[in-house]
Amino acid sequence: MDLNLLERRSEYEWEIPQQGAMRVPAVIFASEALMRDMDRKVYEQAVNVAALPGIVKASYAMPDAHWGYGFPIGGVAAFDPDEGGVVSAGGVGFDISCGVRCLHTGLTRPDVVAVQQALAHELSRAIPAGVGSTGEIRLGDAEMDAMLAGGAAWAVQRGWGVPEDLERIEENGQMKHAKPGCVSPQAKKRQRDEMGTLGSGNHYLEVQEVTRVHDEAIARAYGLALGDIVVMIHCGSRGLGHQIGTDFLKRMAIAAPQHGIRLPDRELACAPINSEVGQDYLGAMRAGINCALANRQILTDLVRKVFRRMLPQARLPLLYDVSHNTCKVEEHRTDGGKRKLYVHRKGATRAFGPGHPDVPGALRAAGQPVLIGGSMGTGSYVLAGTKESEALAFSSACHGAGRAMSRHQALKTWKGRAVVDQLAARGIIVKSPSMRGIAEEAPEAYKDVAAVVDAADAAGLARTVARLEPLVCVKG
Amino acid sequence: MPLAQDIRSAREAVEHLLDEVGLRAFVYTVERKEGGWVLAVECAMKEGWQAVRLRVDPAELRASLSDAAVRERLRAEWGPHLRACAKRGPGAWEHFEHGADVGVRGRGASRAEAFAQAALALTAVVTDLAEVEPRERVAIECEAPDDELLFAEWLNALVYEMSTRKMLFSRFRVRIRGGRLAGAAWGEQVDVARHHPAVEVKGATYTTLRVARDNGGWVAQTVVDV
Repeated sequence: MDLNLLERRSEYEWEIPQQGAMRVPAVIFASEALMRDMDRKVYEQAVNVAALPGIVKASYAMPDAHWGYGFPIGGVAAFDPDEGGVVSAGGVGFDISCGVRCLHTGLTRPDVVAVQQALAHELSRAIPAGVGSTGEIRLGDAEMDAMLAGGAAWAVQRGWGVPEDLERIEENGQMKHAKPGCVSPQAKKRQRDEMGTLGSGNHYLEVQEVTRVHDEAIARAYGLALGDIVVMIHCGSRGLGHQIGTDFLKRMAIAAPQHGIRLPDRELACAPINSEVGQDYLGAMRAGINCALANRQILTDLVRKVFRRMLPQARLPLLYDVSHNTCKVEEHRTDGGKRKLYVHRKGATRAFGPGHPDVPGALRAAGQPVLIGGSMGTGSYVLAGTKESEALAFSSACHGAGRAMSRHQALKTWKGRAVVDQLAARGIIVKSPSMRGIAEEAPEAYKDVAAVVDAADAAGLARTVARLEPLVCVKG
Repeated sequence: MPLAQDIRSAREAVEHLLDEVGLRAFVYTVERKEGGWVLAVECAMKEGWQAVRLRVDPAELRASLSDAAVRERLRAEWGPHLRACAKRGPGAWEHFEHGADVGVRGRGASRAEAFAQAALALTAVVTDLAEVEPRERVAIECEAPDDELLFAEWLNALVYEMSTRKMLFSRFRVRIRGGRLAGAAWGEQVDVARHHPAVEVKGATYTTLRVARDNGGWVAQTVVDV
């Protein structure tokens, strides 16, 4: 990106001043190096979002921002319904509530290394992953609606987990005001045999080791110490969420003129929060969030069963579960006082600071855990929300590394088998049904997650707590 | 078998065969007439249209749906009669770069052909097209208020069929009339060992969405989320 297009507000904060159709400025958080590498499309998309009705304060982009559809991936924008604010399907993304969940194990490296091959094998057998895979659970119509209304709380009621899990999930595991009736029959059909499946692409399940602790005090509060083994699960709302995105992108694009919304590009399709389409979308999207939470809860149960068999001494309580494709109603302080805003985070993580009432009691003093997935073979990170993040970007932080290379280019550059062998030489066992998938997800096809995390930390969006590296990776 | 069902399977077989012959543009009817069955094809020539009438056997047409040898024989039999018809230009598909996702683009002599070509690009996001056998036909219908939304709907309908049937498709047929698309996709069940499916497509976005005349033909493109 040409840095002359922006005004540098501080070392890690770059502003696109309000101009043309923009209602507010746009702000990108990144180091100078990340800014230079950032796609020019992020600039265009952040500017377009700044022009949407009812946007409050600024259109934000996180350090891992890249070209998305409508909103940039890594985009954050809050809207006020009383000022004609909108909700956008593209501002949430197709994979509604895609997110990351981290489980403690109580194990250390030697425990896992002793059974590493077998553990990788058993996890890959237990976790349905990849294109065309199905879970064992079939939901009838009534049970589907119960799942869409209940989220992880529904899953726990059905026996996939324990009540203590719920307090370690955003929204206590159940997104309120979900409307299963606003989810199309097609979306429900896509989900019928996909409960408890991992998906494909950049989704994964990893067994990881804490290899560096950056903040001792917060790490202790989170129950993390050097050498600890955790399980990290990255996946979303599967076919159901994808279909909700598809359905409402079309409905919003067609309805926009009726709402007097002129879109610079149809990919920005949105609807007033206070409109029938807007309310229907919010109801369906919240049901999609519940689907993702239920899905990660069921996967958690599958993982626990494997560990119970393989490493019976392990206990796998939940550290935390974050979603990074959502629109949520939150109260934020702005120049006009405290306001209830509809905060879109697309490829961005909520990052409530210390003391926030929505952070579970045991973690509240430390701030909300922010879980950042890297690519397979590189590190993942645990960060903590900061006090200043609310004023910076409505308490938001980055979500991952972002691709440095297209899938096509990656496929031309690497062979899946060679990637598996290289990672094995480094002590990382990768299991996937697709060698082509592995080639497209090669670690070098992603940007350096450490640079993204460093920038988020330096900008004050979140504080780095620990770095984790994989020992086992199950991919779709 | 009742007549309606006979006609349906005869039409399906005829469409399949005429599509394989690769005509530039055509309309056809299959009717029971004069004690037998008659296929009437009108096809576009370099200038104007010509009409061709062929006697057909419904049992043979039905057999052609599942038997490649019968299909081959019928193609050889019909070919000489349709020789004057203009053949389709080479359609083409490609992927284009988009940071996290993938762009699919189809080109063709008509909108319909560009849509069908883009569908090939869609499958190629997931797997190697040459590995997907066109064994089973799935009918696809959709509608939208304009060409671009119709194109996104077409891709989304295919994504839906891939997702719910666990299938991959490698042959497509598209007809567009007004804002309605009636088409079909031929494919088979996902076979992980053979297809090595890299990634599932979540849906078609409207990013870079474009359906337009281009260099005397048509182009249809958008970015799909993976």
